[in-house]
Amino acid sequence: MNLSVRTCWLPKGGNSVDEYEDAFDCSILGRRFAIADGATESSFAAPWAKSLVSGFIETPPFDSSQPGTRMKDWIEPLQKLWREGIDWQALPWYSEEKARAGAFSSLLGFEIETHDDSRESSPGLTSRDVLRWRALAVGDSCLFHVSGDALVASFPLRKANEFGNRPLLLSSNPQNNEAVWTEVRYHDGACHPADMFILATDALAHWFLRCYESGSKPWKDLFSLNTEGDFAAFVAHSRENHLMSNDDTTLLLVSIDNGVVEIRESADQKEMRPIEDCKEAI
Amino acid sequence: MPYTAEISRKSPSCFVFLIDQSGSMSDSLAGEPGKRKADKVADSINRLLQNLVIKCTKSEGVRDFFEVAVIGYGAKVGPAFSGKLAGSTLVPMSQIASSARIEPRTKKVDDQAGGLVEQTINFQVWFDAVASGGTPMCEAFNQTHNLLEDWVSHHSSSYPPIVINITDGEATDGDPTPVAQSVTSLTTSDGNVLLLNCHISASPASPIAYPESDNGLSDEFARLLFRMSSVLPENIRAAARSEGMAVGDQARGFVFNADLEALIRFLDIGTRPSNLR
Repeated sequence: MNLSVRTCWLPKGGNSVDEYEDAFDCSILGRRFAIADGATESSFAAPWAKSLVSGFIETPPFDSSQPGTRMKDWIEPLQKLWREGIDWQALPWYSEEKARAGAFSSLLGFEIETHDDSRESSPGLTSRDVLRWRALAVGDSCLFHVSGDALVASFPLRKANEFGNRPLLLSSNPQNNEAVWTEVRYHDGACHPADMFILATDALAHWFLRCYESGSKPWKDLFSLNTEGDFAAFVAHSRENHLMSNDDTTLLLVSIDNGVVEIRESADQKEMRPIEDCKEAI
Repeated sequence: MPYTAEISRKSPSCFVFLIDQSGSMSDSLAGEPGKRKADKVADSINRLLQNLVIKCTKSEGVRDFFEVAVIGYGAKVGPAFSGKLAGSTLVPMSQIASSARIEPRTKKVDDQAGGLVEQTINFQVWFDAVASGGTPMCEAFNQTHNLLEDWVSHHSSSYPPIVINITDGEATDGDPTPVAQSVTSLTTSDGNVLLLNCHISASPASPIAYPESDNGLSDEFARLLFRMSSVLPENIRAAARSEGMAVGDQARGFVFNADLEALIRFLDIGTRPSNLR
C-alpha cells in the first residue's frame, strides 16, 4: 500500500510568488501533512506559517483530551524562533509596531497512523479498518476525508457559512493567544485503502464546501488536476467567476493507493513547483 | 453587492479627511480644560493615519492600499498636511509612512504596582492643529467633490472613497447638505462615496456612535450632520458588531464627541485575526 501526496499552491492574484503567505510541509515517511495560512493583516506572517507547519511535521502536539494545553507549550520555541528571525533594529517605526503585534496564522496538521503504531485506543475499529488518522486545527484551514466517493469528514469547519474573514488564529505574540487555547480542535477517525484526504486553505476550502452543499462532488475536480497548468487554470477560472476568494491558495491531495513507490521529498517549498508529487510505501 | 470590491495595490481605495480649522476650534474640550478642540482633532487625525499606515504594513514595507487627502477649512480651504507633505493633495500610503515627523510625547502607563508612571513614546505627526477664521464647510465639500470626481473616473471599479468630516459647529458659508450630496452621489461600480461625520462639542454631552436616528442629538447642527451621513455598508456593520458594538441596520456614519479610529479596523483588506486588537 502506498501513500501519495500532491501539493498545489498559488499566491493571491496580483501578488508575487514572494508574497505568498500560506505554507505547507509534509513527511511521507512520517505520514504527516500540514498547511497554514498567514494572515494578511499581520507582517512576517510567511515565516510564522512556515515555522508552524515545520514544527508540526517535526513534533506534532497531539493531545486528544486537552489539545490546547499541549499546543501552548509546543508553540513557545516557535515564537522565540520567529522573534529572533527579525532584525528589529533595522525596522522603521511602522514595521516595528506591526511586528510587535505579532504574526498570525491558521494551522491544520494531519497524520495517518498504521494500526500498529496507533498511540491511542481506536474505539469502533473493525477488521476492515487498517489505518487511523488524526488531525488538529486552529483557524479555517480545512481537512476533507473522502471514502467510497463520499465526504465522510470535514474538519474543523463543516459548513460554508462558518467561514468569515476574522478567524481566531495562532499568534507569534503570546499575549494574543489566550483566547485560542480553548479553540484548538482535534479529530480522529478510521480510513481505508483508496481513501483520499484533501487539505485546503480557506479560499479553496470555502469553495469546496459550497460545491458540496450544492450537490456536487468537488473532490473529483481537485483530483483531476494533474499539472501545474491545470491547477492555475482552475483557480483563475474560479476567482474570475467569483466562485473562490482571491487569496493565497494551497492544496494538498493525499491518497492511499497501490501506485508505484516513488520518493520525491523536497526540502524547501519556495523551490518547489506549484504541483509536486510524492509517493511512499507505508 | 456594493462595498465588496477588493482593496489592493492594483485597485486602491481613498480617504479624504475634512478638518474644521475655524477659530472656535481653539475652545477647550468638555471635561478636558486646557486641551483645545483643535489639538484633540489633530491628535485624532494623526492616530487615524498611524492606524492606516500600520494596517497597510507588510514585512517588506507599506502597501499602497489607500490614497489619503487632508483638506482643512477655516481662514482658508485647501490641503492641510504639514511638513514634508505640505501642499500635497492625494498621497499614497507608502509616502504617508515615510513622511511622518516624530514627536516625543509622554503618556501614563500602568506601573504594574497599582499606579501610573509616565513613559515617553514616539508620536507620528502629519497634521498640526490650526484654529482661525470661519467655517467654510461648503467650500471644503466643493473641493472634495472636484478631487473625487477625478479620482473615481480613474478608479471606476475600486472600493468607493470614504470622506470623514470632523467639525465642531455650523457652516458659515451656507447649508452644506446639497454639496455634501453631490459628493456622495459620486460612484464607482462598487457603490457611492461614503460620508462620515464626526461632531465634537464643548458641551459635556455623552458620546454617541453610529446612531440609527437623530433622536437624542442635542442640536440642529448635529441633526443636519447626521442626515448628511451615509448609512454604513453591511460588511462594516458586521465587523463592528463582531467587536461588540451595538450597530443597527440603518446605522449612519456619524459620531458625536467620539472618535472614528475603530472604523479603520472594520475595512477589509484581507484576513484580520479576531484575536488581533
